[in-house]
Amino acid sequence: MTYLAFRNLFQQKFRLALSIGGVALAMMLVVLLNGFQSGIFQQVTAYLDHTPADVVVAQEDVTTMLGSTSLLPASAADLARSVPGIEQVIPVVSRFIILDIHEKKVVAYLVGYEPKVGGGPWALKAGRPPQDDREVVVDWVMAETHNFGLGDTLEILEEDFTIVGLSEGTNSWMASFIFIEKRAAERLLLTPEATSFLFLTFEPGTDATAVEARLRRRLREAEILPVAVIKQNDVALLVKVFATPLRLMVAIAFAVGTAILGMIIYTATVERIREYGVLKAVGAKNRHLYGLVTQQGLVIAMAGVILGIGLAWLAGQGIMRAFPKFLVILEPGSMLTAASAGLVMGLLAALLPARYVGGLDPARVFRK
Amino acid sequence: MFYLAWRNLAQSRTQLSLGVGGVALALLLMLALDALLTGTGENLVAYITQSGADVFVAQEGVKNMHMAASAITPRDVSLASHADGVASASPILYMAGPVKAGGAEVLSYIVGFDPGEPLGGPRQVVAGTAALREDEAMVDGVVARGLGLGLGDQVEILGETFTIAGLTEGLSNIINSVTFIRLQDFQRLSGSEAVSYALLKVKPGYDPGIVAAAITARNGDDVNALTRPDFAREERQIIQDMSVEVINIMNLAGLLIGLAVTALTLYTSTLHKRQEYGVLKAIGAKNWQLYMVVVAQAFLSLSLGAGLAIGLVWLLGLVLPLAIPNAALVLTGQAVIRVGLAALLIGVIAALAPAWQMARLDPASVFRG
Repeated sequence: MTYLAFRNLFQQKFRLALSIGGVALAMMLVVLLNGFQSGIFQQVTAYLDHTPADVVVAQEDVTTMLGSTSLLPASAADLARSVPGIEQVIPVVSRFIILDIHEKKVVAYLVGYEPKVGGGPWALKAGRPPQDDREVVVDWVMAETHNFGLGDTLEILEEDFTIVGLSEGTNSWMASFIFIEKRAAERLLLTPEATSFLFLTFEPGTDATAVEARLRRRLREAEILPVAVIKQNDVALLVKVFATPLRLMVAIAFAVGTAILGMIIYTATVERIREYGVLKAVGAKNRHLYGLVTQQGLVIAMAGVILGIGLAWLAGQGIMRAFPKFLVILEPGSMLTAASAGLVMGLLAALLPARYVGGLDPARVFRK
Repeated sequence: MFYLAWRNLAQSRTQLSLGVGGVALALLLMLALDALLTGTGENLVAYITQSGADVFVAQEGVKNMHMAASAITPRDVSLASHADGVASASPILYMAGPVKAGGAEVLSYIVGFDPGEPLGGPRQVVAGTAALREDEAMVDGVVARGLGLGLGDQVEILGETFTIAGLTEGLSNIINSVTFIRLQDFQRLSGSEAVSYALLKVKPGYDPGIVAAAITARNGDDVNALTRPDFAREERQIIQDMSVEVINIMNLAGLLIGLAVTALTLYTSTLHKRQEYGVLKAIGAKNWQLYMVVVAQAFLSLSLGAGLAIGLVWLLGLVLPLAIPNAALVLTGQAVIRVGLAALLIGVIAALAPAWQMARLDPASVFRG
């Protein structure tokens, strides 16, 4: 039966190529979309991944860095520093802002930090950190996209800043990080001496639980969370944002692949109706014919999955080269999911033709 | 030609369904994401477009509400209210933050408005009241239902407990809901008298554009005034500019998949009809005439597919909000035209392979079998 399945498939090589191509494109889309999502998740936690912190202090009830506005009172940093067991306190003022660049809306995450303390860019592709309150470090991808370079002027909330540095690893599809001095951010956002977040590092060997308890007593109306929890919450927020469009596109891509596969297997089955009639007449059982049809579906599906994963990798490389703000990460888990989806696709596509051959009356075939 | 093309297509209903269905789904890839993002964009600007305000005053350099930070002083609001042509100026505070209830948390844009002012609060009240008192809030009806809340229940906003006094609808999107509290409560919790925006009503007979320009010119160092349509356009542009590359990638994917499906359908159908085409050639039909049959098949198949795709978007628009609260799909004329052009391109290219088959077809070999 397997040999027969292959003979059926390979009789029309052009048609086989088209069908594998169609399934591969659909699977490519599924893998690519999941790759987009994985890339965004990595980009989104990049700041917290590279800023030294054991816990993050935010305004009460604020449990994400990217989802809510946070404002702590001026005294929060000093109160935190006074807690025994705290080695370092990094205060930042941060918020999403919209830049109008060349008549386009560019979403940026503004971070105002103290260069001597930390909380700024962790890697510079060119230039240096800001040294006064009219200087800015922007992500190099954002700079390249909008034709900015070192020494150019960037208007932020109607104030001109000179670009003195280009940071690396601070970009995402949604928004890029831009860094200015904390006092400049306070001025722009009209929040004198305020802080959005405090990143606290514990002294080595300290009892973290005891230090956290002391922090909660000192900073009563603040949210104090381990940095891992904040990262998790930021990712969860993005899952919520992207889940709907992603699942919709993946569902459609899966349906397209199944339709293509169903069409080719059904057509191949109908073309061979006499042969199936003969097989049935000489004693082949329905399950043999189901097996024949299913094998054809699975062969095309698996070939499509393998080609689709290859196309997804190529497409991902191409997209990242053309649009550096995108990061496409193809994880083994998502490829396994794609392979499973391909398997299901092959089985579903074989249902209709299997039903067709199951109801076949050999005598009727010979009358035709 | 069309009759023959239709007979070729419709001979096998199953194959026709699968072929047209495949094309429809490929075109749906191009339409669905665009419709979802447009719908999200419309939800995003709902507060602006339904506010009743003619002009929005924001901090200098700020032309948006979402993902923007704006702060203006009570003096800025007062100056704006006394500008020529302004009937009223209603201040609001606006911030992204969590709304918590019973262990669950929903991200929300929190709007602090003065119930005594004509503008700033929700225009649609589905239950309760918008005349909020101290420590009362209005939440989105869909969100409330999702959290199992109703009038009189309590929620935590900005670390404080508020009682739900009213329910709104139509202002939330798949990312954020919108929650209203009193401006005075918001200012107390934030410890500042600054506000985010001022919503202005313009007197009859005055042009909002001229009023906005005058306000910007008069205190342009501190504020920026935009008419409601301009402010909404700036807001929609955020989604458009953020998503243009992703939409293009989806369009390309849809185009390629649509091409594969249509090429497959036409090629298979032509293969089945080899004998008939051979007969036609034998009795004098020219290649271009047979090619026109294939083109007509492509046109019919793609038209049906495009129509089905548009129908599916409409259906998704009805079904999706039932599964995902505040999700909205809006199909634009531009998207339909884009899909139409894509279908045309697909049809022209996909017909090439069968055209090559026809050109090579030797009528005598067909009869040999």
